[in-house]
Amino acid sequence: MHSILIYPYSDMFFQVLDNLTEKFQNIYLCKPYSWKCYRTIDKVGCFIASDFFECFGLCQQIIIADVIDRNIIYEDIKKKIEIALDNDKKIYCCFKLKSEDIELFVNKGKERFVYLANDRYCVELDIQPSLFYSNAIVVGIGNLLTGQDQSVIAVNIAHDMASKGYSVLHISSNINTVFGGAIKFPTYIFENICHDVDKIYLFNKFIEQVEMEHRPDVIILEIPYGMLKYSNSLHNGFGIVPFLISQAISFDYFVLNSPLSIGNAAFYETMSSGFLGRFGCNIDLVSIENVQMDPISEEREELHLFHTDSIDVNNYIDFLLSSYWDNLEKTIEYCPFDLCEFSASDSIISKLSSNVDSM
Amino acid sequence: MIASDRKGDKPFIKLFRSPRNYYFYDVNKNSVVHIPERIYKYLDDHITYEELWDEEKTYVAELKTKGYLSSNKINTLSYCTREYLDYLLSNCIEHITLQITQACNLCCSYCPYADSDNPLQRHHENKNMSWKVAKDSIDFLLNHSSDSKEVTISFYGGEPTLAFALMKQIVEYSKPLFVGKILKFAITTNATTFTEEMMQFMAENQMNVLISLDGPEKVHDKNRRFKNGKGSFQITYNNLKRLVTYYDPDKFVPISINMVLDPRDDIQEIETLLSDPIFDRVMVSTSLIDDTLIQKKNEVSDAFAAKMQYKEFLGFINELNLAKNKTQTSPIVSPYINSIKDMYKSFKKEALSLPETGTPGGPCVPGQHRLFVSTDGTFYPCERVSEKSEAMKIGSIFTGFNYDKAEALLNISQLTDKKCKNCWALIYCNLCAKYADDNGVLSGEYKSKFCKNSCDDAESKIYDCIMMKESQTVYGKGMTQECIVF
Repeated sequence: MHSILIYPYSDMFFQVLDNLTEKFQNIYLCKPYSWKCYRTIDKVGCFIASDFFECFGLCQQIIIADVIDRNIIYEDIKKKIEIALDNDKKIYCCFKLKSEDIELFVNKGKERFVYLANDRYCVELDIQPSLFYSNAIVVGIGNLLTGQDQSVIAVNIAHDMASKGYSVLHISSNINTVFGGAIKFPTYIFENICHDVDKIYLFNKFIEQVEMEHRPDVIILEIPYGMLKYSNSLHNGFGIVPFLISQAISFDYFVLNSPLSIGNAAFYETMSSGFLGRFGCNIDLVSIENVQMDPISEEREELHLFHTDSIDVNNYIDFLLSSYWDNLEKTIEYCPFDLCEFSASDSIISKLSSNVDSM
Repeated sequence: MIASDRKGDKPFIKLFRSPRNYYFYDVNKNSVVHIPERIYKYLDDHITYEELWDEEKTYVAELKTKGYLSSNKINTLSYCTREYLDYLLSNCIEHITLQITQACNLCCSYCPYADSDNPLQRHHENKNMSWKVAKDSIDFLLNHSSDSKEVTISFYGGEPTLAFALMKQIVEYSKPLFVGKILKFAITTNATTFTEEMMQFMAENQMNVLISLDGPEKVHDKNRRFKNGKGSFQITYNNLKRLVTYYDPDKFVPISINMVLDPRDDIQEIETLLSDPIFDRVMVSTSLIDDTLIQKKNEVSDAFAAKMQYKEFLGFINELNLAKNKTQTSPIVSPYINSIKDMYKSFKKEALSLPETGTPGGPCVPGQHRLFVSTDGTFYPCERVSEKSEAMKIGSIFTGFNYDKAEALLNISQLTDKKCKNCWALIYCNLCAKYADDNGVLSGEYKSKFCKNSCDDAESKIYDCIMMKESQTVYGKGMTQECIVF
C-alpha cells in the first residue's frame, strides 16, 4: 500500500477519507497554515500537516482537493501542481481549473495528471423537450444558508443505503466526493446564459441520462446555494437554483440542512408548508449543522457563518423538540448533521418498499 | 415634550420641521415619517388626542398598527454575549496594525506624539519593535483569524519607513503563512524617506499606502515640518508622484492621501492641491485635526465653517444632479456626503423594533476589526487611543487578550446606561471608547461631555436627508399630504 498527499486539506474532504484509508497506508492531510479544520481526524494512517514540501517527498501521488473559495488559493495551487509534475508525481485534481491551465498540465504531465473536476455528462436541449419522471427515489438535500456543507449528510446517507444493499447515485457540488463514487453536480447548466425554462429541461435531461446509465434505486441530490432568500440584506442566492431544480425533478424525501438558532419548531413547520407550495415537497428531516450565522452579517450585507461545538447542536435539538407547544403538529424529524443516516435511511427504505409494491 | 397616547406611553421619536413640511424620526423603525401639521402638533403636545379629528385619530391608529410611535426602548445595553466576544477575538481578527517604531523624522504641530509635555499621549522615541515581538504578533494573527477570509497587516509609527528592514522581514515572514487567505499590507507614512528600494517593495507587494499630505505647499508646511523647521511638502509630493509610477497603471492603485484639515486654513486654498491630475488615480480622504489627545483644541473659524457648508451644498447639488454636471463634489466633503447617502439608505431597510438587548452605534469590537500592537507588544483597540491609558490596554502578545477589558470598551454605553437608553440618536451614535477615557479610567461623566455633539451630528444628518428627499419630491414635483416614509 502506498502513501498519498491531499492538498489543500479542509473539512470539505473529511467525509471522503474513509474511501481512501482502505487503499492507502499513509494519508498526509496538508492544510494551509492559516486554515482551521473543525472535524477531528481520528482515522488510523491519517496525518495532519501544514508543510506541503515536508510531506511531498513521502508520497508519489497527490490529490489536489476542491475548496470553497477557489480564487484565493488558485495561484498557489497552480504552482504546487507544476512543482509536483516536475518531480514526477501523479496528480488527481478535484480543484476546478481554468481551461488553459488544464491544457497546460495535461500536456506537461500526460497520464500523470488526472483531472476529475470536469463535467462527464454534457446535455443539450431537445427540439421539443419534455420532462422525464425518475424511477428512483429522489432524496433532496438543501442548505438553509449558502456556505453550509450538505455533502456530509449526503455521503453518510449514501454510505448507509449502500451498506444495506441498495444502489445509490450521489450527485454532489463537492467535487472531492468523486472519491466516494459521487457524480459532479452540473453547475454549468445554471451558469449557462440561456432561458430559465431551458435550464429546467437541461437539468431534467441530466437526471435522465445519469439514471439510464446507473439505474439507481436511490438518487441523493445535493442542491447548491441557499434554499430561500434570507432577508433584504442577505439574498442568499434568492433560492433561484433550488426552485429551478424542483421544477425539473420531484423530491420523494427532503432534508433541510440548517444552522443553529434560526428559530423554534413552529418556524420549521411553517417553512415546511411553504416548501410544499414552492418546491413541491415538505421537509421530512431537519439536520442541524454545527454552524451559526454571525449576527454582524446583516449589517455587513455579507453572510458569514462560524463553527460551534457539537454540544450546541444537541442543545438546540432539545430546544426544538421542547418547543412543540399549543398542539402544533410534529411532521418533521430533527437530528445532528453527521448522524442523519440513522433518521433518514429507514424513511427512504420504506418509500422504496412502497415504490416496489406499486409496481 | 412628546405626546403620550391614552395609555401614557410616550412614543420614542424625535420631531423635525422643514420650511414646508413636518416629520418625526421613529427610533424603533429607524425611519423618518412625513406627517400633516396637526399630527406634528399633537406629537409635540400642542394638541391633545381629544382635539384631533376622527380621520386624524384613524391616521395615528394606522401608524401604530404599522409599528410606528412605539414607546419600546432597549432593556439591556450590551453588544453581545461574552461567549460571542470570545469567539470573535479567538477566530475573527481581520486587521493588525504594528507600531514598528516610535521614531519620527518630522515634528508636526498637531501630532499628539510630537509634544514631549503632552500628558495625554506618549511621545516620539527611538524605540523599535523587536523581531521577536513582530514575529509573535504575526503568529498571533495567524492563530486568531481562522474564520476571517481576508487579513491586513498595517505598518505604523512614528514613521514606519524608518524601520524598513523590519517591515521587509515581517512581509516575507507573513506571505507563506497566510496562503489560503487574502493577505493585504498597508502603511501610513509621511513619504519623506522613500528610496527606490522601498517604492519597488511597496509596489511588488501591492501595499496600500496612505500618505499624509495636508494641502498645497503653504498649507502643508505650516504644520508638517522636519525637526529643523523646514517644510516637508516638496519631498512628500515628489515621492507621492514617483511612487504612483511603480504601480501597474492598468490596475487599481492602492495609494491615497489623508489631508488633515486645520480649521484656521482656507478650504479653497487647500483644494487647489487637488487640481493635479495625479488625483485622478490617488484617492483622497480628509479629517479635521483630532484634538482629543492634544492639549490645544481646535478653533473653527466662521469663515472655515461657512466655506465647508458651501462645499457641502455644492456636493448635494451634484448628488441631486440639479446643476446638470456643472458642479462636482469636493473630496473634502465626500465623506460627509457619503455618510448622508448611507443614512438615507439605512432608512429604507426594514427595522421592526429596537431589540430587547442592544447597543448604541458607536464602538467597534476592540481587537477584532482592528488590533493595534505597540512596540513592546501591548494590545490596543486602534492607533487613535492614548497609549498611556490603562483602560485602553486590552492585553499583550505575552498574555493574550484581556477579555474583561475588551468587553468594558465594547460596552461603554453601560457607563451612561439611562442616558443611552433614552437617547433618540442611539443608532447613529459615533462615540467609541476613546471618548470615555478620562486619564486612564473609563468614565460616564467624561463620555457625557461628547454626547451633545454626537446628537447634533445625527440631527444635522437627518435634516440633510430630509432636504435631499424634498429636493426630489416637494420642490421637484409638488407636495402631498400622504404619509411619505423614507
